[in-house]
Amino acid sequence: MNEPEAPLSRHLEDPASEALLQAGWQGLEARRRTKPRDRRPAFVMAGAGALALAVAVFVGWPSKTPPPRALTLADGNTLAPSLGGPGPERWVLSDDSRLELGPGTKLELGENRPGQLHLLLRQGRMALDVRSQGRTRWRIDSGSTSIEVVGTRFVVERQGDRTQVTVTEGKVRVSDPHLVPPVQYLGPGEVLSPPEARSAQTTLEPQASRPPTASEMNRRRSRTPAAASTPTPPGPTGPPESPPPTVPPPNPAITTPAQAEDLLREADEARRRGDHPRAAAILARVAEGSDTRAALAALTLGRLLLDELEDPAGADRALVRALALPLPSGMNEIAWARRVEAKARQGARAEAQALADEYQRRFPSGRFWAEVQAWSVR
Amino acid sequence: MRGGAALVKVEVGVSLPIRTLPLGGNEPSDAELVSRARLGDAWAERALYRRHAPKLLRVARRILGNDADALDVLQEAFLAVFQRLGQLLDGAAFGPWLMRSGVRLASKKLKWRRFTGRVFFTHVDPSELFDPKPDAPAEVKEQLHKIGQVLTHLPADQRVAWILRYVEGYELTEVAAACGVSLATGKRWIAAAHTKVQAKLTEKEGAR
Repeated sequence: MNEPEAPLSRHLEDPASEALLQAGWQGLEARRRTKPRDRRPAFVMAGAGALALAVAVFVGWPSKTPPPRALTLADGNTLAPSLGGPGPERWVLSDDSRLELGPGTKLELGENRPGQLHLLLRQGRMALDVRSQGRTRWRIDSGSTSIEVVGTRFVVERQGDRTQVTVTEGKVRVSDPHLVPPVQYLGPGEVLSPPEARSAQTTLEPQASRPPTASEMNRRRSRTPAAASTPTPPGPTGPPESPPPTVPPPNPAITTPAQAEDLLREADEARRRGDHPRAAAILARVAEGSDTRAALAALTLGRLLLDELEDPAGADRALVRALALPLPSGMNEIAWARRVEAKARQGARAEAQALADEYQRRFPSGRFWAEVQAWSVR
Repeated sequence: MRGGAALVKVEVGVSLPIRTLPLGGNEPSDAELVSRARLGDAWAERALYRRHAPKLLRVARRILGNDADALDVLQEAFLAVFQRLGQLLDGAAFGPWLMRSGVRLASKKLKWRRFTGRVFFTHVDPSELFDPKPDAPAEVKEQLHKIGQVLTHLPADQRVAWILRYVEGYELTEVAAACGVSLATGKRWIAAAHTKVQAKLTEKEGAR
């Protein structure tokens, strides 16, 4: 090997310019301020990633999702072709879903095969807490109304031809040819009463003979929880045709569910007519009870006072009452959220903030956190 | 190591605080600066950078052919040695230690660049590896161009060793130390590269 006579660098420009050296020092300082990065060669990381992927695909990948099975009762017994009786019933299914039937409910099993369960509600009230996590497709038919389970917890109530769907958690899909639009999705707190009953009632009440308009249909869909327990009254109910409501006597004792039912129906009618003070008065009476129906009435009263009657103080009292009663869990969150709004609208900022904190503590991933936050800082 | 000329030039031409260092015999040694840097003296670290960065930057730029990669190597090398100053038993060996770290990083970067170039079908080496002075003779410029073409196709280790030896003028022992290999291996790399360079230059001269 020849010895170099002189290095070739004497013919080359010196690349170590002052600007580059300065840039190098500044970059060095910047790098030292930041967290040192992993020095493992990138190709090693890439190779490890590729290997992990290969292992996941060829070895660790689940061979197949276990096929769904037809639902049974939790104890392994098959579902009876018809359920319900004079008393309330509660069933736990093999996928841990809960099915509660009210007194006098008649529920029939339409189809039960792997991945699909079809129920027919003939009469009464059923509450479902579906925990299939998408493995089983639930469908409940009630008259012409078909309800498909997208989410988790809801109530279907049928009285005669009237069906009402109330969602407390998750999401359901309701389809009915009488709905406008015929397919609607309901979220938490939403109540939908398809107007099927109207056609039946039409025969009884000639004044309700015209078909409902789209706007009327939309009015029927409300986020009012109390409406959940109130069957939709017959007819599109234009004020001229409606019979004049009877004013309830002051503070009568509500002894039976039927009485509460009648009063709630009256409240619904009053609300539809725009007679909010009367609706509030009726709801306040029902709220004096101590059951779930009273809790929902109190919550609806709070909402009514807040949204329609500009009475945030009264709304807050009603919401406190609702929270003191056995309110369904989905509604609980609504009541807490609306209390923040009620306090904020009273100008009680500190209390609104405290309630917002309480809301966040109770519902760390609450659905209404954005609204709650907005009210608490007003 | 032949680095004195570069050091003198740097000390005269810089604007960083290294200029405040006393010149001549009073200039602190690498060992002294390393000792002070170990105690967290930022000025000493900067002085070490100012003293050794130009040489490493020059070598990295000539191995890699572009400023961006050379700067990256420069910074990574200094980061590594500053973080591990406590492991350096002899502070006077800071220069060779830094150079070995920098050359290793440059060599790895060159290999990685070639690998990604093959994977993504991109051209990785600049058209001109060397940047001749404007007043260099024309035949020298042409030779540098040809050498650059040959080096572009050499294995990374051979290219690095040849550049250190024939471009930077390092002694064989210095080349081996900078590459972190034995003297025999260093010689072999240089010889293999030099044979190809000479063959290319001879072939071209004959063709002309």
